[in-house]
Amino acid sequence: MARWRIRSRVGRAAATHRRAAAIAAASATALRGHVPRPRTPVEEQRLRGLAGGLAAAAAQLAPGWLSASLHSSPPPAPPSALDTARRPAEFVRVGLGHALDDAPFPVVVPLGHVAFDSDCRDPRVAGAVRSLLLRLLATASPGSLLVRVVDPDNLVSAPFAPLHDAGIMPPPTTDLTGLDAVLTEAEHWARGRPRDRTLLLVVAGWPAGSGDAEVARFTALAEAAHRLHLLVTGWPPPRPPHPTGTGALPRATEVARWHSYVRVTYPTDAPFAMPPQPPSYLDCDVRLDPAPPDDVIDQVCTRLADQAIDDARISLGEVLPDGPLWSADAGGGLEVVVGRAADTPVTLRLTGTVRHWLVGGRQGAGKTTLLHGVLYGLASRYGPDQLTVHLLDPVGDAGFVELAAALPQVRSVWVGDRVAAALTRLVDPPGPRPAPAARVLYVVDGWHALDDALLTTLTGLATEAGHGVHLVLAGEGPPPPDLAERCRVRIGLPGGRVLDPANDAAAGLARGQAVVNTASGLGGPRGATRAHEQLVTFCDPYADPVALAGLRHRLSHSGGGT
Amino acid sequence: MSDPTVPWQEYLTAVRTLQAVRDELAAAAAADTRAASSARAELAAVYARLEHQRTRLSGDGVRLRDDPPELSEVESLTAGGPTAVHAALHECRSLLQDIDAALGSRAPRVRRRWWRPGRWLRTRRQVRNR
Repeated sequence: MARWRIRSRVGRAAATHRRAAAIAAASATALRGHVPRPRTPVEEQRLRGLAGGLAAAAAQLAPGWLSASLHSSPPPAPPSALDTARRPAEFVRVGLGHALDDAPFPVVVPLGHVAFDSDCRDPRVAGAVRSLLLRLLATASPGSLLVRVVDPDNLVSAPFAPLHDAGIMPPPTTDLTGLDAVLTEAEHWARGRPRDRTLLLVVAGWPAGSGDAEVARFTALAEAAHRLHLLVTGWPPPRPPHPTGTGALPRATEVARWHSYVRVTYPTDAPFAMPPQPPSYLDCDVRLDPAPPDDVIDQVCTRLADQAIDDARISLGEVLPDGPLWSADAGGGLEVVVGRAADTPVTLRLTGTVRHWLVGGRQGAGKTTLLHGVLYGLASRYGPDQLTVHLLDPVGDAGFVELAAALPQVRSVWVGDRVAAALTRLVDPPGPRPAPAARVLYVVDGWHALDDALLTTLTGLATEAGHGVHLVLAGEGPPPPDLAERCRVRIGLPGGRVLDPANDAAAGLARGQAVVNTASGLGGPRGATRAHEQLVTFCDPYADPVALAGLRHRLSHSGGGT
Repeated sequence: MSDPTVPWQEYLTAVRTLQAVRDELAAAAAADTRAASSARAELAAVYARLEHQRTRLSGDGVRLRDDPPELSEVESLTAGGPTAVHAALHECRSLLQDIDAALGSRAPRVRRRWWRPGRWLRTRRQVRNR
């Protein structure tokens, strides 16, 4: 009986074991083939719907090129002037978010400021900065956006070189001194009167030696900015004693590396802020926009530069006198149309009280063009019996020799090393003086190339020159103080430093534009109308070769006829 | 563009909704992964007990096949992913307890073995060594 019961129990246990083993084997099979649960069609449809809604809202916030793909094939055509924004951009795309792998949507950020945690040595950041820069440039109405770039390693700005001569975006700053100048300009901009232009300050990398002072200035700028956007990479910059940097940039959207993606955190303290409740960041596989193709950048920049220069250009006829040539009397002084302010010709004088002019601008800003235009204007108005001109070109690139061939008023031309001898000779000429004309004009293109001794001589000439002797001095950088204080008329071109340091009227000039100041460069009260200062579009006499050839022919052959 | 406040609010709302949906899906995926991991650990323990019981049954002269014929009957139990596997393994654990109970009830047979010569000799040797 007992043996039978035991056998029965063992038999039951064996049967149960077989079932248990079967369940274990089935479980092992199920787990071996297990893959994470795929999204259901309903879930995918919901995600696609959300991506569609985000794309639609982004298209409203950042229309056209502000959020379009810049890598489409064929490449997108640059927006025409009619397509550019009537008002400044308020949002711009930085990349693509992905609700699903095949359901992207543009990630837009408010402007504002944008701060990347990596600098442009990270190619993803460099690409995104180029993309942002191109979008904002392409969609801004002409002249409404000025760009300053700090780019020590030239990682961002190279393809934008066509804009350098258009006054839209000067060559990048690469060192601490340049960064200081850019920050000073931005601080003037932030403190100044309300403007109809926007300044975009791009930091593609930090010059060696940047420290707490620069960080503090950027932080203050970000707080105070009006019509000023900061696009900063590598924020916060590493500096002792914070080797990895600390602190957020106020009112800025933060873009931080996150695995192979980036994490976009919207500001909570800006006009278009994210409510301060979690999550404060966009966590959906955001990939930054890659750099636009170079040919697309070049196409846009060339168009913008051409447009800026065309807008600034005025014809030779506008600066020439209406009457016959050489019909004016220089007894009371010289006067000449230097350009046009809006639709009004701007006339400047050289008289007993306004004896000398100072013209300042960086290389390529148009100093020589301005001087040639002024000289053609004077030569058309005053005959050789009224005006004698001496041309001095210490640098050797002013083209004075060719100019002298066409202007009978030019008595002498001195180029390069000969300028030193010329200055001595002109100040104290040997032998009998020629019969003086009513006015004598010395034009120096390139004071910055003169050494201290020659500058002293030139200053002496400016100080002791007798009645009817005038100087027009052009150069780069800050003028020598002794020389500057003898020049009431200051003409500031792009990059020029002849205005008072507190006067930022020349910030953001386009090529072909100048600020003409008749009060030694002083700016005057903020917001006040400045009668002594005008924004002038000056003439490029070489823009119309036919008109210029006609004028040169008349000047050299007519002897004063019309 | 007209006032951007409205589309910006729509954008932010959609961003938040998207993140909530993604978080929800991520949580479900994480739970699935956790369940699979837990089931694997439990399966290892089950196999250990099964092997132990298999040895005992072999000692009782029961021959068990490596591919139990009940396999096709129970495959449906594990078809619902890690959660279903977890439930199936729970049932499996109950069965293992039943087997232990069934095999453990044969205690008299174990008692009868105490007089085996080897055991008797070992016991005598131990007594002598004290």
